[in-house]
Amino acid sequence: MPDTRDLDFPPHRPLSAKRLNQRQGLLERYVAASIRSRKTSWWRRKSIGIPAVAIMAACIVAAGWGLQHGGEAEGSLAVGCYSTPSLQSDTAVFDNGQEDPATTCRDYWQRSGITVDGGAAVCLKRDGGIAAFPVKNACETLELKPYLGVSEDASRFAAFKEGAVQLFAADRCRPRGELIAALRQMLNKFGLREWSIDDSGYSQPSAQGLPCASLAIDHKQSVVNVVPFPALPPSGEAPSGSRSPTGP
Amino acid sequence: MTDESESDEALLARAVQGDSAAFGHLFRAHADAVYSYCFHRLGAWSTAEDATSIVFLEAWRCRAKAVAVSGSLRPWLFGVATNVMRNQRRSARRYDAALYRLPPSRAEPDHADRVAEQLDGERQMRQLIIELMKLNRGIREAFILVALEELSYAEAAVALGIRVGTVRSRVARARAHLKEIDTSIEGSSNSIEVVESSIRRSDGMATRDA
Repeated sequence: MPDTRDLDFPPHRPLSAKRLNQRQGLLERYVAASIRSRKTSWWRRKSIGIPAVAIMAACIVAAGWGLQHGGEAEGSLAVGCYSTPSLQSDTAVFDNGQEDPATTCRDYWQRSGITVDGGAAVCLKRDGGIAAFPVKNACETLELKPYLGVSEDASRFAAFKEGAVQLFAADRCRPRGELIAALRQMLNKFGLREWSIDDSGYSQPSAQGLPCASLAIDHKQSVVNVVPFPALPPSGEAPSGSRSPTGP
Repeated sequence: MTDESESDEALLARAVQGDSAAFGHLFRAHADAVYSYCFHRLGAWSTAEDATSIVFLEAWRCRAKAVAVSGSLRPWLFGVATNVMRNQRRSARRYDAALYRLPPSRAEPDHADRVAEQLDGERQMRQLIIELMKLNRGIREAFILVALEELSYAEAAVALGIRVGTVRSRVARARAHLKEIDTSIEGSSNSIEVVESSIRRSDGMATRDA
C-alpha cells in the first residue's frame, strides 16, 4: 500500500441516513420490477413472440425461395473480403475451400491496393458466413465473433464439395446415372449420408432430360441439386479453387 | 428474510432468485465506499450520490459478470463504478427514469461549519482532480482505487481488469507525480469554478440539487 500521508485528501463524508434509505428503496423497487418483467416476459414470448417468429420465418423462407430459384449454394466456407471495417463496404467473395481466409483476403487486398492496418481480422457474421477485414480489431468494433476455424462437419463438407466440383468439371455431360452414383459414393465417403441428391430439373421439370449438368448445393435443406443444361458452354470451364471473386 | 452476515455472493444469489431486499443489503454494505470513490473521481458530493445509485443499477444489470474477491464484491463494484464514470452520459441516460423518481435532495439542516467543511472538501478534491487529470486515465484510476479507496493491488487489478504488476507501476507513477504538487495552492477559485462547470457539463449526471 503506498504511503499517502504527504497528500492532502478531503475527509470522507458518508451518505446521510435518509438519502441512503431513499436510494436503497429505489434500488430495491427497480430490482423487483426487473425480476417481475423477467417473469412476465415468458408469457410475452409465448403469446406474442412465438407467432411473430413463426410468421417472420415463413416470410424469410418464402422470400428466399422466390429470390434464389430454389436455393443457391450458401453457408459454405466462402469468405467475404471487405475493403473497410464495415459490413456495408465493398466485398469480394472467394470460395477457396479450406484455405486460410486471412491469406486469401490478404492476397486480394494486396492486388487491389487496399492497405492492411495492423493485421487482418477474420470474423464470423451473424448468419454464419466468414468475413475478413483489413483492420486488426474489426471483429470487436463490429461486435462479431472472431473466426476460430472450421468445424469438423464443415471441413468434411468442404472436402466433399471440392471433390464434387472436380467431378462435374471433368465431364459435365456424362450419363446422369453415373454422375449421381459417383455423387452418392462421395457423400457416403465423407459421412454425409443424410444429404440427398435432387435430379428433378432444379425447379424446371422440363429441363430434367437435358444432357449436361452443373452443381448447386442447398445447405439449408441438405440437398445436392443437379442443374441440367442443354450443351457445353462455349468457353472453357472456370478452374476450381479460383482466386477470382465469385460475386459481391 | 436476509441474513446480515451473508456474504456478498450469497446476497447477490438471493437477489437473482427474486429477493430484491438482498440487493438492498448489498447496496447498504458498499454504498459508502462507492460513494466515496465516485466523489474522488467527480469532485462533487451531489453528483457522486447519483453516480452511486447508477453504479448499483448498472451492477444489477451486469450481475451475471460479478466477480467476488475473498467473498467480497467491492472490487468488482469499483470496477463497475469505473466503467460508469468512463461512460457517464450513457449510464445516466439509461437510468434517468429510475433516478427521477427520487425526491430532490434538500439542503440538510447542518451546522454552518459542517457545510463549510463539505465545500472545502469539494474544493480540495477538485484541486486534486485537476492534477490527476494530467495523468493518463489508467494511472489515475489505479491510483484512486489503491491510495484513496484502499484497495489492495490485487483487488484493484480485479476492478480494472489488469495485472497486479501494472497496478503497482501505475500507482508508483501517480505518486511520483503527486509528490511534486504544492498542495497549498490558494486563490484559484476561478479555475475551480471552471472545472466544476465542466465536470457538471461533461458527466451528464442527473443532479437535482435544490
